[in-house]
Amino acid sequence: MTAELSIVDVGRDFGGQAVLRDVTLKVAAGSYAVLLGPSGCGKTTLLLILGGFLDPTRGRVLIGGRDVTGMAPARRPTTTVFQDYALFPHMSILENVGFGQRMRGLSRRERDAKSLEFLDLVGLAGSERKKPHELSGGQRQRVALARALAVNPDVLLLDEPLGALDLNLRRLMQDELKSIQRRIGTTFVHVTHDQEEAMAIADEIIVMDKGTVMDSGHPDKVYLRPRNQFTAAFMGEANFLNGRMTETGSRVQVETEFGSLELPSEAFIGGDREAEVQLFFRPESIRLGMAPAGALALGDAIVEDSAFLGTHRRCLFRLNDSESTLIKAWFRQGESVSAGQSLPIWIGIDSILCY
Amino acid sequence: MSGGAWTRERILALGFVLPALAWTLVFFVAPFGFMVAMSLWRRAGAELVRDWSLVNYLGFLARPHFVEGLLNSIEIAAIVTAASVALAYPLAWFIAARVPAGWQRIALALAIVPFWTSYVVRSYAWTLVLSNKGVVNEWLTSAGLISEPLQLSSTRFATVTGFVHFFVMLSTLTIFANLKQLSPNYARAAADLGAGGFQTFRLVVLPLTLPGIMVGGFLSFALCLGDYITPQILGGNNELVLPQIIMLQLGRRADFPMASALSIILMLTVTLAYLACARWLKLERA
Amino acid sequence: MTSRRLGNWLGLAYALTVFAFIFLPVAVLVLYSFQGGRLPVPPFDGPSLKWYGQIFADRKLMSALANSLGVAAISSAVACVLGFLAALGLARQRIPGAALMRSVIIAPLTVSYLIIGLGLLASLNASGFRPSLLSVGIGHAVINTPLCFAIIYSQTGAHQINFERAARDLGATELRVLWHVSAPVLAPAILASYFLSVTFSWDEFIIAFLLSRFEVTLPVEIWSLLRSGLNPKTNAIGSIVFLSSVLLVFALELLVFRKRGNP
Ligand SMILES: Nc1ncnc2c1ncn2[C@@H]1O[C@H](COP(=O)(O)OP(=O)(O)OP(=O)(O)O)[C@@H](O)[C@H]1O
Ligand SMILES: [Mg+2]
Repeated sequence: MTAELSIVDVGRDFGGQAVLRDVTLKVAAGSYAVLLGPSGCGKTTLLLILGGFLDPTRGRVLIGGRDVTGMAPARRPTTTVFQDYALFPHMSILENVGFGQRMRGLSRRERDAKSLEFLDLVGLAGSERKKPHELSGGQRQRVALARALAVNPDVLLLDEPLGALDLNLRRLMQDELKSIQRRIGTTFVHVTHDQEEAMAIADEIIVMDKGTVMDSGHPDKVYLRPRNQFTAAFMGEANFLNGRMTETGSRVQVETEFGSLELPSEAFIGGDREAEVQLFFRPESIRLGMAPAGALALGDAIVEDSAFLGTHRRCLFRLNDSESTLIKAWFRQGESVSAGQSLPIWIGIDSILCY
Repeated sequence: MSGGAWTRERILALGFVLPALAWTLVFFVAPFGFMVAMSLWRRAGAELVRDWSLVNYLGFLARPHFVEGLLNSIEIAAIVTAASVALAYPLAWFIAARVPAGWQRIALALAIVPFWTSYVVRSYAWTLVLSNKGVVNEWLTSAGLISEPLQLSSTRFATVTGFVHFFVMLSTLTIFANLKQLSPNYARAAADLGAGGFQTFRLVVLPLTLPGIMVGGFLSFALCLGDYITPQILGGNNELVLPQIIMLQLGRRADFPMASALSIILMLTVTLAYLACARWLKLERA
Repeated sequence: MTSRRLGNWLGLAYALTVFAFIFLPVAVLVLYSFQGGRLPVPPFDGPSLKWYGQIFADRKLMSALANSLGVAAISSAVACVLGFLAALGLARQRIPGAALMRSVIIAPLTVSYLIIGLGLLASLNASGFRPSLLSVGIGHAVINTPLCFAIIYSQTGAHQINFERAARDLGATELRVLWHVSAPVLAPAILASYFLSVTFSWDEFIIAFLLSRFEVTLPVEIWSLLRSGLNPKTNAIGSIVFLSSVLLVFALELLVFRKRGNP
């Protein structure tokens, strides 16, 4: 059971304050979508609207092409895994998972069989007689998942389901969520403020800020070609440099304090070309050594700090003729760079985007 | 810091506890023990005879109006508790779920304003309301519903009304507190999985607010059983409850042993009620 | 959505009905304290302030009022200090037998006032002391100590212990830890418990009735007024007690609790 989800111009006010503004997006049937954004940007509010717990002030929600705006939660083809799990503390795990079936009038035998099947799916076979407080955080989260899936929703909504788990458990659950989603094919909408988690599981990431959608798309698109500076900075570490654009005929030239360079047209994001631009590049695209022709040479830079982070080495460079700008760079583990050194660095033009 | 070592810190902590402990031992535990002993002595004429026997307890069982007093007490307390909780629950729910957040404190404060009248005065106020010439009879007469005033004061109805008035306020507080600390996601999850309003209430909200109901209910029951004023002022002397009988032993006859025995019977009744709902009543630290 | 609307209206109607029930006796009490005639029942023939004049002229009533205030203020202070120290002691350290001590200190809460009063009265008689305001005060401190203890104890926790450790670590003596750290940190709980016990003591009847003889507290004096039946004078004193309590609570709310941003 799965369905396409579309949100059309949805807005929501709280006491005159707009918490959501003109949210429009589409999630394909059977895909795993992640709503990503900083705390307070309106993710929970949007999810409550999708689940039917909150009415939007403006706009419509469609599931499988059917308008469900204003429809009660029980009648929507959605279920929610809540941020605090909301497992009923006075019921056993089996009763919790069977609750939805019970509301649909199934006999105890039928619903117990079905609940066991879903407990098995989430890897909790054998715990059905326990009460929620007897389970660990990760186990509770699995029960909440089983309970929500047991009524065969078309769309499953998850509000920061992994927020309370430790890092290892979170990674494990990410993989499991994804594999469960692949197996049953239900559309998942998952809320998080952790961009690594988003990239790990999403087919599609929707980046939100201050109640609006900033960017959306496949993880590599959102990471490599973010639509705006907010997304660029939120999706990972980012470097920005000031630049000035000059356009002569079909050639576009960008002046920076490190000299001018010619950028291909796909480097310009957003279309409208202003004179003042920001050059954006990720720390992993910085190279050491003398710049080849056509690349942007940043000159000799002083290493302010160098730290070994396991998967890579992270360095902070102070550029020669700049007081304030620090450039973040990641190198291979084996690269020996130490604080105090002065080294030439450069960046290839195909790694630069312009806003 | 291992097991039972008396470190300096521990001795200091013990020093902090001692005053309250000593105070309670001297002015509560000792008098209470004395009362237990007294209940096993007896009064002969004006004398106190210190021989140990169960004569007062047997005397209680042998005197029908004493036993009836206890039964009246229990009956009234049970009616009051049930009525208070039943009246308070919807009110607490309405304030917690339907009153806008900013107004809830005010609504709750209003709901318990009469707490601040003196207890004696509150019972007196009900006699004003319920007396033959009081406002209720006045309204009913002028509405043409009755021609003769109803006998409302000095009845069990008056006692129960006075008690319910007080304990509705108390139970509203305990149930409201319980409702507020429930995550709204419980009700959402139930609705999400297909439960209707009533099912959500019966299967999820009600069981989760049982502690609030039990605390309010137990307090109502216990305080009601031990109260002398309300039945004395509102119930008149037609139907005595146990505390009234205890006070009679003290007043007219100065029969301390009997009064003590009756008090202990009263206390045992409360203890039984406590044991019945003990698992919902816990003293917890934040 | 319309059934929900209907539910809201029904809920509102219900709430207003219960509110009416809750306010009825108080409204009647206050209204008929302004009665002109001798009986505080309909028809209302006021407003008149003559009953208020009478209570202020009533020496016995006024001295009972003063007694009540004194007993409440002093017995609550005793209860509060005892409760505060015990709460700190039990919160700080795992003393052997802590559970038992806690139960003993809490015990008076579980016994009805009538029984506590009776036990104290019997012991008083047996040891040859006369009932007096002092014995009333002791009785009230007995019932309020567990209350203060429970309130303050419920607000202590790991953070409390850490504050105190930090202070000691920085060289504070025990007395200064108590004065500069423990008490201020728990101030809201201490204040709340003090004022709660003041209201309890101020309003308490049965212990005051059993343990007093010639000098009595206000509830006992009102009780003797009741023997004269329905009387607007009782309404007047009752209204004054009510209005002053409400004002006190209101002021406290504004001054103490609101400022600290408590819920
Ligand atoms: N019931 C409400 N009344 C008023 N304001 C609200 C209400 N619910 C949410 N808000 C406001 O809406 C904004 C978005 O809240 P929301 O809970 O959707 O954020 P979020 O993105 O889920 O944040 P987090 O990551 O912290 O969970 C916040 O500024 C919050 O204060
Ligand atoms: Mg949230």
